[in-house]
Amino acid sequence: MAKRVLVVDNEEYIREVAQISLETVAGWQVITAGSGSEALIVAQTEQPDAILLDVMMPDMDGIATFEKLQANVATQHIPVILLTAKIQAADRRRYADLGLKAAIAKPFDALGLATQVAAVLGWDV
Amino acid sequence: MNSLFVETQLWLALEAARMGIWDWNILTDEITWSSGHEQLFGLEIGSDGTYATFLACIHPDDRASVTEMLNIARQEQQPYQQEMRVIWSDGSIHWIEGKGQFFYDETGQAVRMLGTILDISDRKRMELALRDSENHLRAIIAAEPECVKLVASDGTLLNMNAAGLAMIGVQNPDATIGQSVYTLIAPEHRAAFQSFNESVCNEGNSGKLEFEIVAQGTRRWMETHAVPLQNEADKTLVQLAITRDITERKQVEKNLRSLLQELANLKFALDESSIVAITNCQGTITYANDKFCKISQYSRAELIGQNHRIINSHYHSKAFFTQMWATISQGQVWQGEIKNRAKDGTFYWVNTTIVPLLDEQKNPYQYIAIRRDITARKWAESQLLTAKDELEIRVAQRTAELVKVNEQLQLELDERKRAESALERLSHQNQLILNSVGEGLCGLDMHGKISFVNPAAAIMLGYSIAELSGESIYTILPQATANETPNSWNKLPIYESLQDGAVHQVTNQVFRRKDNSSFPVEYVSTPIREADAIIGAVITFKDITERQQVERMKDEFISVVSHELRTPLTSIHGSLGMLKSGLLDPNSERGKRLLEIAVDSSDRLVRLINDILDIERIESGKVQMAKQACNAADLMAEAANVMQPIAQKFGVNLSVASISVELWADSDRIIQTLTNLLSNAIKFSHPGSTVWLTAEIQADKLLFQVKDRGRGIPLEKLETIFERFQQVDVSDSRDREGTGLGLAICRSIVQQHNGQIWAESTLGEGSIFSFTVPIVQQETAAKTLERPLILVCDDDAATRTTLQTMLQHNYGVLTVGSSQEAVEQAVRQQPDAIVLDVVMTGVNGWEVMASLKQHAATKDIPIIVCSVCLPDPNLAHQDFVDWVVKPLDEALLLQSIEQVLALGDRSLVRILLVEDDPALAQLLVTLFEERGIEIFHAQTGREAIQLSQQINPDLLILDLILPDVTGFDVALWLSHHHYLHRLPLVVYSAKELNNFERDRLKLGQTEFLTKGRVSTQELEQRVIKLLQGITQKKMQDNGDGKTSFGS
Repeated sequence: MAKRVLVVDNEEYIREVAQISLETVAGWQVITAGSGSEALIVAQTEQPDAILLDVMMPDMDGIATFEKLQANVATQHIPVILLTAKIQAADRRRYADLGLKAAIAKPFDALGLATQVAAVLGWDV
Repeated sequence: MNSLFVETQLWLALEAARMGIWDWNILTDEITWSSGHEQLFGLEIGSDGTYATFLACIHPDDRASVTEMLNIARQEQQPYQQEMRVIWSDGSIHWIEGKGQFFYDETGQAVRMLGTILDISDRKRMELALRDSENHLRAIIAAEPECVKLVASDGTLLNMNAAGLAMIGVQNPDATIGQSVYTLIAPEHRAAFQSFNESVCNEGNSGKLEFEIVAQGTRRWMETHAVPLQNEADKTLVQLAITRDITERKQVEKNLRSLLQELANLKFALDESSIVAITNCQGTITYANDKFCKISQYSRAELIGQNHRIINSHYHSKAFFTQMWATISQGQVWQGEIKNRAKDGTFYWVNTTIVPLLDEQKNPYQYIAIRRDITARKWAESQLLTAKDELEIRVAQRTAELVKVNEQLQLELDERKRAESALERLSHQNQLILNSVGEGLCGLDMHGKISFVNPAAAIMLGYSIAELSGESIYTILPQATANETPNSWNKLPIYESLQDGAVHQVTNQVFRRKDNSSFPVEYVSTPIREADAIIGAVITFKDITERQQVERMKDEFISVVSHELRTPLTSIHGSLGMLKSGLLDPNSERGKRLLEIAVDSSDRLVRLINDILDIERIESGKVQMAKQACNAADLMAEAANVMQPIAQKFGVNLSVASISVELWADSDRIIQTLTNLLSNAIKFSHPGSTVWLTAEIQADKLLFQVKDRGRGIPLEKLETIFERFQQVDVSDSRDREGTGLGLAICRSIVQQHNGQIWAESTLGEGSIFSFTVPIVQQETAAKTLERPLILVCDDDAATRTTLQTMLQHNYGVLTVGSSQEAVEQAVRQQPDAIVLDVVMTGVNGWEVMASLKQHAATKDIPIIVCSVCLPDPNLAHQDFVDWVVKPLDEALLLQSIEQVLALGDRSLVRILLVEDDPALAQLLVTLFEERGIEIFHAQTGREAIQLSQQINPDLLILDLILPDVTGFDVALWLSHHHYLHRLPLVVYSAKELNNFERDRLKLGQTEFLTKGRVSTQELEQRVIKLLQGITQKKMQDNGDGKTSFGS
């Protein structure tokens, strides 16, 4: 069964590109959310296999969303990969400390995105 | 005795006694008379004697009585005696006395008469005289107005005349005469009167007595002159007295006495107090009092009879005395101060009053000179004068000395001022260094003990200066935590400075405050050397908390920017990557979508980059606002024009209510601001709704407003939306093609125009974005600099547009549609000419014209009437200068305006340029001279002060940094000048000025332009603006025409 991935980004174009990329390259099923709060609901209801989470979002940013996902037993098991422009060594450490699986830099490689995600999660592509 | 002898003897005796004897024989009527008889009757010797002869000699008046008397004597046989007058043949009348005796016969008939005549002429004469005299006396006494009385020795009033009786008020004389007169006498005078009366009556003395009587209830003074008179009745002596009432005289005497006493007192006083002299008309002294004698040292004898010149000192001019004599000889009182000479040659001063005494013809007959000795005062005055002269001389000397000293001092002062100003600058710099926040100074000795701190350091560290002095450097270093070793003195860069004598800079130190809080510092440690030996170090430190915050903000901005940039980049990169992979057919729906995303994102990226660069340039001041005069209406129209397609796209109506106001602004930037706000408003409006663009004048600003009926903005966002990337909703940036920088850019632009921008909003109802742009130099009119300004007043919008189009190539055009606006704008903008429609609907154009002509600020602005009507030839033409008929002929209108404007005089205005840079000065002089403006150049402050007085400039362009005195000094000097203190001033200096410095530079209208920031062209324009205001004012003051600076 195809993997189901939730892409969370406030930028519609990025959601679209990520969706097209993952669906085209890996054949995964991609669902999207435009904000952290939407993501919390979608994650709980849709129970995706993984969440690609943008960090810089208004209102509730990626980290806050992740923490809320972690705090919820219904979503805490879902692996979360950050999708962010903000990746520096210190950030990576922090993300790791927080329990995030990985952080993928923006702009991402549309072709390699699925591979990167699969590698992190140990999925087959 | 012999009878013959006897007879002879008798005759002789008779003749000697002037007597005659006669013997009348009555029977024979023969009368024998003696020769004496003949003589007495004036008859010739031997005349016959008959009774007829006799009777013929008798005075006719007496004849009858003679005959009668003779008859009586005969009949009664009595002796006859009668006095009669005889008339001699020469006509003379002689009195005689005849005596005779009749002799009778036995029958008793008279037969003989013997008698004598005696010449009694002398006696008769005496008797007559006596009788006359008595009659006179009686008449006199009766008519005598004084009292005449007879008083007996016992006081009985024997007689009193009518006047006397009247005097004592007696009606009935019988009741008084015969009574004692003593009762009339006042009791105290009674004894004297009685004694006087007895003296007269008993001793026959005559005399005078004054006494009082009491009559009719009043006391009256009487004076009586009495003589003794023998009473015929009893031969005793009585008093005959003439008495008169002297009551009035007594009163006068009494008054006179008191007057005399008074005069005596006055004279005494005068003599005691004053020097008194009397001279006659010739100036000869007729009286001199003691004081005069004393002061003149002449005796009275020496003075009297001398001319007053005896005391002349020859001090006074001839004219002085001429004037004096002229005065007194005219009967006027003269007063003056005279210097006189005493006998011994010494001088004395008198204050003199000369009073002329005038006769009935008002001519002076003598002069009384009353003088007061003022020698002492004169002496004092002269002393004072001498002292004053001396003082003046001394003052003059001292002043001269002072001037010299002052000049010296001034030189020294100037020198010192220069030194002081250098010192001041230095001191100011030092003070700045010492006091500026973030710059702390801390001195250390070789052992790390604080030797001194500056106030800034103490404040930053939370200590007082005293608390820190002598403390160890560790006091301000962070305390060592458990797992850290304490700052080792040896390892501190401060210590290193002490060791190696080098300067060490540390940027990551933290200092500790008294309250144990810490703050980041950057410090420089510098060794202090004294005679080659290091004796300590100075730490100069800065609190870099703020800087770190700024850096953090910068980091955040970079982070945000990087995010904002990466976002579209991510989309582009991803889209293109997918398309490139060939996994997707570019023509498929997804392929097309990816391309669309890529293109859109590219656009967004471009916008973002542009905006980021834009805002960066604006805020850093790298781009100057290209400010120029521009009309708000034009800007609004342009913005509306740009936004119209977008409005249409969104189905939004765009409503513009423009106002024609000249602004001093960068028109492109204002349009950018307007389009930005309009764009936002349109994007957030519901289709079918309206977006309004309006403008209104608010005092010295123009307020632009963009209003929508969109979703509104939450209250908490109203401020932050003007920050960068602070959209209400981030998704808006893509949805609405925004970058998140638009409002930030708007804010920057508005701020660069010294305006304000803000938003008001009600959620769900809409928002209003407002910003202001100052109407620069409201009073000098923000008209187009290069071109004259024409105010078009027409209620028809189409006509306004037509006129605007016709005129805008050559002139600045201001259009108004209402009369009120016309007057307001004319007052405010001071256009060079007004084109006025006189058949404006709703208002009478003539009324507008009247208002314009009534207003002092607009009365001189020429008016061109623009009307569909032809001019009424009967109209007075003083209110308008030309009449143009609609429909308008462009060429005619332009020609008319050109002529109207040409009428204005160009009056010379003078600028004083104070600039020490010759190249810049030359450039500015050329610039202004090309405009026909007289410009004077001063290279130094002193020259500026001198020139400003000579040329009385209309405006001053002032550089501040000058070789001698500063621009501040020049301004200060001018500010104390009585008319230059209001001189308009343009400060054009490279020096950045704080408010305090600006205050010191204010004269009249003052503008501050910074060299480097403001170009010479901009300076020129600003100056022209100011001058326009000045000349307009001058014109108004002079009642002259208008002036324009059109090139």
